Amino acid sequence: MRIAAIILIIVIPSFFIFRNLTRPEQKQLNATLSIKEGKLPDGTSVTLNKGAILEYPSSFKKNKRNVKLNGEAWFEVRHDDAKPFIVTSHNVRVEVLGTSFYVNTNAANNTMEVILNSGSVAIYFDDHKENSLFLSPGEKAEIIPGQEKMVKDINTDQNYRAWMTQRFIFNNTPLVTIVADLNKVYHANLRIATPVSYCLVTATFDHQSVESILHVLQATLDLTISTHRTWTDISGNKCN
Amino acid sequence: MLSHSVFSQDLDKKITLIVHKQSLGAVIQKIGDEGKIFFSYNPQSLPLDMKISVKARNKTVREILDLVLKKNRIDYFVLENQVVLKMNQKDQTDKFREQVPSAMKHTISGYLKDKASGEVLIGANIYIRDTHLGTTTNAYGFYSLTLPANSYQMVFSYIGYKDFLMKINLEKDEEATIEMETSSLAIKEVVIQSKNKQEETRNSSLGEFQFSSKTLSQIPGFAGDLDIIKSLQAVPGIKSYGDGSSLFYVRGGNSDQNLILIDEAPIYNPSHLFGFFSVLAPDAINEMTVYKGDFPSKYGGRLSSVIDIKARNGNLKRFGFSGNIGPYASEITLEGPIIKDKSSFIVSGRMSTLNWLNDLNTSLKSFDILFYDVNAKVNFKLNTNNRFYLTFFYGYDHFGQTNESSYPTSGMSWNNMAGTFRWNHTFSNKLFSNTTICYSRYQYYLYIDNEQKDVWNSAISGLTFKTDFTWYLNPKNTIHEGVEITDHNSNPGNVSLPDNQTDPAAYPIAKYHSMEYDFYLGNDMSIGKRITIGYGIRLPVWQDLGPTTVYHFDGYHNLIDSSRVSNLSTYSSFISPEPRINFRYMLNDRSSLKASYNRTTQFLQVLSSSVSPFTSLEVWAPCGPNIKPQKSDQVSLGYYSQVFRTKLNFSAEIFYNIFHDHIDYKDHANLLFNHLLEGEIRDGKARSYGIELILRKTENNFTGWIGYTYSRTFVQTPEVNNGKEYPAFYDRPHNVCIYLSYTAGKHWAFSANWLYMTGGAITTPVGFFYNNGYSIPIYGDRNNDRLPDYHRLDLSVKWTLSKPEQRYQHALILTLYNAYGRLNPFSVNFNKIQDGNGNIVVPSNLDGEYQLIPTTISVAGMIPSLNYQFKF
Repeated sequence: MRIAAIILIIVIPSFFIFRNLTRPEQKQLNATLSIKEGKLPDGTSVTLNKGAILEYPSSFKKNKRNVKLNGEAWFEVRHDDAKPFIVTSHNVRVEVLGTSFYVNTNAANNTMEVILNSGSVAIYFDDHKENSLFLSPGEKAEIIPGQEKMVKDINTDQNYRAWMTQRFIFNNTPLVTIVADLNKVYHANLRIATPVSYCLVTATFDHQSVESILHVLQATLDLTISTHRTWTDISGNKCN
Repeated sequence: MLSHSVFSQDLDKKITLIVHKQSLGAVIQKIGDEGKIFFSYNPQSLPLDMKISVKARNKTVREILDLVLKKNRIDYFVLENQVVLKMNQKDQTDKFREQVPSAMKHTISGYLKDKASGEVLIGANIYIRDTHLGTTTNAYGFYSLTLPANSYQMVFSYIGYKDFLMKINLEKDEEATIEMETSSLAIKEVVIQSKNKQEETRNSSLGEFQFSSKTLSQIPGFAGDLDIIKSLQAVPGIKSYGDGSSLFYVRGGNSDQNLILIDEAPIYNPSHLFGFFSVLAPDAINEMTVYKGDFPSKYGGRLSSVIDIKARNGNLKRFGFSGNIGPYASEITLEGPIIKDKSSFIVSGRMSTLNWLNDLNTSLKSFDILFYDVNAKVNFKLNTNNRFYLTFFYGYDHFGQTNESSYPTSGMSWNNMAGTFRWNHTFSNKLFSNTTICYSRYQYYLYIDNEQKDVWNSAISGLTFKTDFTWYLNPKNTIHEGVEITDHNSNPGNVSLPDNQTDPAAYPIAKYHSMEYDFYLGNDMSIGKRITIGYGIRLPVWQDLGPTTVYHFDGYHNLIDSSRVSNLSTYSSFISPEPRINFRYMLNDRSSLKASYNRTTQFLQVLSSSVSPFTSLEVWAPCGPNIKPQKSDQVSLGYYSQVFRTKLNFSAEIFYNIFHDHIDYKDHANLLFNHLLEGEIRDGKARSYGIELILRKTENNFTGWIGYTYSRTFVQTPEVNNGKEYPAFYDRPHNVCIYLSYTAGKHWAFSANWLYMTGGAITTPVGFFYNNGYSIPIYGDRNNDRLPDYHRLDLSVKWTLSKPEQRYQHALILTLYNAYGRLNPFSVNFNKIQDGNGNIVVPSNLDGEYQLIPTTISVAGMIPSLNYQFKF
């Protein structure tokens, strides 16, 4: 009896201690002031936009690769059939095998957004994998976490990665959309007047400042741009 | 991440494009993919669905675009790394022809200003896309272009600012004043494409070097303060004296042959003590243009160069102050609007704090050094047609020595004073005029006895009235005409003794009084797309007036007679027409050839038989019966080009200059206390020639230039050196200047400056003979020897403490002047020796032997300086 007790006293705590020592520690990738790039223990690369936080273990021991995200991030996941890669936010899970995709946990109207670039992705709530929404490349999902609703759509926004790539591609894009994109990525505070809102533009901008992009738009559409201290007005003649 | 950058050179990339009946939209896409180019366009305005076929093998992108777009009346131009496509509105051929009949002409005119401060932009470029027509803003920021009624794309550009593109529909006369924004720290030059690329090469003139306040602020100054006159040393073809003076020599001309103008007033001595500081605080300068080759006909009176400095007017929009505090001198500038957008003022003051150097002085004698200058300017815009400017400038220098009991023993001081009143008036949008009344005076004092009451002084002053008209006749012709009348007075050197003491040796020397009348007329004309000719003539008339005594000399320079001239009667007059012509030919988009011929006359010169400053007494004397006006004929040729596929500019200029009636002096000339000083002058001729090469990089974080000049100057004076040719003092064959500047991010800037000059030519004894215990030097040929070569390295680091968006900007600047401490000689002296105690004495025994050793004086070893610069 005594021997059994000793074994229990030694073994059980040791077991817990051992378990704790070998449990991978939680690490955090924080993009406080600027875009942050990081590599996860399995070789997956992740790029976080300003303000995003990613929590991940120092090593992916179990049969799953679990990470927790708050904010906007772009993932390029290393393919591993045995270990699905799961991004968690609140009760939403985005499960992938090997793929590249974009997640924004704080999109407009309290929604979460997932846009798939390549590979495949399954999105589900908590552990209900059976009610997954599958995405194909080029599709996006809008998720309302509170209401456990998911909507799939084709992704029309070519510039969802502009914050990371510094590259905007506009193809017959109305100026109002361009202005919204610039405001989002550069936090620019541009205001557009109604007559020119629906002027269309086809252009590509790569690694250019807002001033530079506005300069090109001004020349392309004969706009009038007036800069004030905290905002910029864009106006001009109505396009045909 | 692949990043594309499109400069006009990338449009030279060769691609192959073979398409058959594909939509224009798809073809544009293909060209973009193949040529790695981004297009920007409004898809609703272009005929994207039109089916076209193209067969182009290994052609440049530019050629393909011309092929595909031009015939569909689509325009293209490069802007900010994009190629922007736009429909060509009117039905016009791409070559603009003025022979469009019955087209009513209208004028667009106005001013170009800095958006933040309202300061005018001088010499900015304005041109019309798709044409070769354009103009530049004048010295007051004004431009005017007359064109047939049509719609145009106008481009306004100026270095350091973002290009401004404006579309106008010229149906009637228009007034457009443009406010330009500065471009970001790393100056990115926006290249407006193809046909107008030539504008860049066209407008950089041969023999003209323009410094805007942005370029000036990048050159490492002395003691952390940029120095406009010192910055001239970095220009090829301009040789400075060296340390200790800001005298400079341009293309083989003497140091008194440079006309330095500050807001149209001539300044006779542009340096403060020892030449380390120039007379105008750098914060007060808007722009400086240096002409060393083709002078426009509006400038005259000096043979070698014109340094035209335009001071800033003062911020029209808000108050500001700026300054620089340093160990040797400090300055502060205050500026602001008096009535917002209509009137402003700027006041700058600078003062030296050098007396602490006395603590480092080990000799028993101490010195007292002071200089200060004040520059104040007020401007007022009455209405669009009338603007007034009032400028006042005063600079003072004093250098004195005191003995052990702090008793002043000797010293010198000088001061410059200038005031100008200017009135800009636009008669019409094509006729701009400026009328100036200015007064400038320079006085020089030498204290020759204690208590500084016995003083030798010389002075020169001029009161000028001038009016200048610019008539923008049409885009091909801009006519300049003007009249200038000046009343010159100079005191060539007189001694004044207190208490009515008279010393028979100090004969009063008559003062000079002269009147100058100048008339000039010129035209800047462009012919076709490639040729620009500037031609003109300047006609100066000079009259010397009494009351004075005129001395007559015979052929051997012996005095034979003298005559009294009564008040205001003319005893001597000269007229000297000066034709000027310069010619520019654009070889292609990137390079041009230029040629010019100039004749100039100088009526006022500095008589000085010693070449070193501060030991020479400055005597300004006009020409007259015994001194003929000096004349110069200069021919120059140049080649300017942008180096292929790089951002470098290269220019090469060669010149040949002949000086007639060049002034020199007989051996052992006596110019001090000599009322017959005119008899000491010998005239002859001089010639100079040289080649100036410069390679420049003006964009991005790393800028600078490397310049090399080889030039010779030879003088031949019949009665000097047995009539044999000899090199001038300032014949310094090799001259190298390397200036580099690197901006690292928003806070750090590094610059370095290295100068090399062959030593000046001096006359050294060829032997000595001994007489009565004295060693007396024997001289042979004039200027038979050379001073040691001059070279020095300046380094500077600027740490900008504030962020670019902050209103209060401040920086710390560390400068090392003469970083490796080379003791460049200032003068070499053969009359003294050093005895055992290290004292310099007039020759005497040295260890029993009569030994004469030359002594060299250097002005400066390494001079460090830490300055705090601020701006609000």
